[in-house]
Amino acid sequence: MSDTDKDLIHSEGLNALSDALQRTFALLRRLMLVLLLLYLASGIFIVKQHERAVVLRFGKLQGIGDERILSPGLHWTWPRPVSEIIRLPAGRVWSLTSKTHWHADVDPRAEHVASTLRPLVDGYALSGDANILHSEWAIRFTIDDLESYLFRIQTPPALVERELNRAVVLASAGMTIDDLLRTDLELYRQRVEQECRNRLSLLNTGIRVQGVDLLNVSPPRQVADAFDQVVRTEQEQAQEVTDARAYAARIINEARGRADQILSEGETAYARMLNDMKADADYFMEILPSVSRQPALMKQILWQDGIRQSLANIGHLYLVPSDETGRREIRLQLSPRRQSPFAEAVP
Amino acid sequence: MKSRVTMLLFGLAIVLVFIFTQIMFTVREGEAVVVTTFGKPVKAIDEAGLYRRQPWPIQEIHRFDNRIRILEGAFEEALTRDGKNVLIQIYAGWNIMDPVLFLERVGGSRQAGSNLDGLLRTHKNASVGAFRFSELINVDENELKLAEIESRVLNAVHTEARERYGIEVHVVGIRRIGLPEAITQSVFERMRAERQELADRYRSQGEGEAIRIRARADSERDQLLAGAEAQARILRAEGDAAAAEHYRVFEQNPDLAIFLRKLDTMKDMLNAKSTLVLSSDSEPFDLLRHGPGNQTK
Repeated sequence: MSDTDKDLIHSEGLNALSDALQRTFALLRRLMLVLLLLYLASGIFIVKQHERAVVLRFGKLQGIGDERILSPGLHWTWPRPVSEIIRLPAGRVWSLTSKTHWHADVDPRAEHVASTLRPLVDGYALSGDANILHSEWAIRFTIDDLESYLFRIQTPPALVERELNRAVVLASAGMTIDDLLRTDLELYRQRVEQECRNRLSLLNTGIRVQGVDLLNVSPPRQVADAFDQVVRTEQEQAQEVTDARAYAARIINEARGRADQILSEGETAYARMLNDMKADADYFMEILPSVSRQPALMKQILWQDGIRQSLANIGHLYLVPSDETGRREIRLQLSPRRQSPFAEAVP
Repeated sequence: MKSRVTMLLFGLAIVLVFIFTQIMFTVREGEAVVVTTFGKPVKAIDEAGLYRRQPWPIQEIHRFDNRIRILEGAFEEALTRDGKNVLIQIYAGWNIMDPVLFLERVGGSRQAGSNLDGLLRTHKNASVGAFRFSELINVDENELKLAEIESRVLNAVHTEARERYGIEVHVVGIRRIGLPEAITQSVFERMRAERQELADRYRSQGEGEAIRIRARADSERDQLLAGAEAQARILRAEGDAAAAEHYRVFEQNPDLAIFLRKLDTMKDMLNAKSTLVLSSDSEPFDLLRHGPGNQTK
């Protein structure tokens, strides 16, 4: 192979290498362009309907006033490391349960109940009258100010839980055990809720308390039977009072009825007496002329009529002979409807 | 030529990015940063943004989370002014107020927690010791001093933490109040006795109330009946008085009037239950014995 041939081959090789490099650079250029576009496109993000978002650019919150909080929709910002997007389901109601003042779970089949409460194992609160009670609580809240929620408090739920526990301690310490367990449960709950609301608002946590729920409240298991006994006694006494009221209602109603009856009888007697006397007077005036004319005859007639009417109604009549010839009796059965016990005794 | 320019730009961009990271730094929202030059704090920043710096190893950046965090003390015994043992657990919400002082005196969050815990414990014991047990729990809200205890602890810890460690304490709260384990048993005995007393009271109240209700009802019944009887008697008296008006007609023949009254009385008294025993000579039964011709006169 001559030198000319060698130069020609060398020249062709260089050209091929140059072409290959040019193609590679062109490919790299396109690749860089694609990567740049992909990088810019990665800044597109969606805030869902229940979410709110903020954008930090070089660590600083972007926007002024309400614009700082991004509403649901499609958004774009410079991707990392220039910007950082923080999304939170701020539109939702958050809920948190506290068992700090609740006793440790125990096997309900266990016969033996420990005679004491162990600190940090059995949670409880003290009432204002130095009694012990267990309670379990839940708090519901929303994020009212996303900026404060994200950047003012490191762990907002932990603070909310502490504030709930504190409110329970304060509310319990000011009420009697009976109020806390039975008679003023709603007041107890309201006091806890109000205390939580006030403090979390004062601390500017960005949290709005929606409500506090008293999930469970009970006396210690060690004295539960004594509390049950009080409830039973109360119910028994309520029943006794109810019975007494029923008795009172019954006898008063009966007495009213009897009183009305007595009055009615009095009125009837009053009317009857007047009527009887009037009838007697009328009858007297009616027969007076006849009696004045024949007094003996009329009195005899009247007397016999009276005897007849009277004897017609009586149960038994016995006639005893008045002669002295011996003991003889005549028995008359004047009431045919009734069998006289002496009817068979006639000798 | 075009390819070389592209490569040059690419390389330049990488170099610029590297230089940028060495001479600039960011402070995030909720962060505090202390810049030290050869170990000496020269700048504290607690506002978020992009800042310039000298490259390492000339300057170093120390970052702290400056948001309020919770420190929880132990649930431990404290003595009240009247010598009662109670268990109290308190918590505090704190953040860094002076990042430079914090860096110099504390260094990090763990050490800060330890230092602050000591302060909290000291002032908690002192504050609880200034109040009686009855001021920790009391049904009279005016006597209840829990909020005052919190306030005392906060004020005391706040001042010391700020001056000593560059820490600001924002809030102090009582998370739990309890009694030593051994005492809970005697509390249960007292609670049982109270419940028994309450049950007895309810029982006696109920019985008393029931007796009162029955007695009132009996009394009301008697009054109603007595009133009705009296009213009925008045009516009868009025009836007698009204009837007397009719008696005057009897004055025309008193014998006849008396005779008629006797007849009426006899008719009224003799009824189906009456048994009458008469002499066979009594009229009109003398007819049975003597016949029509020999009547008794």
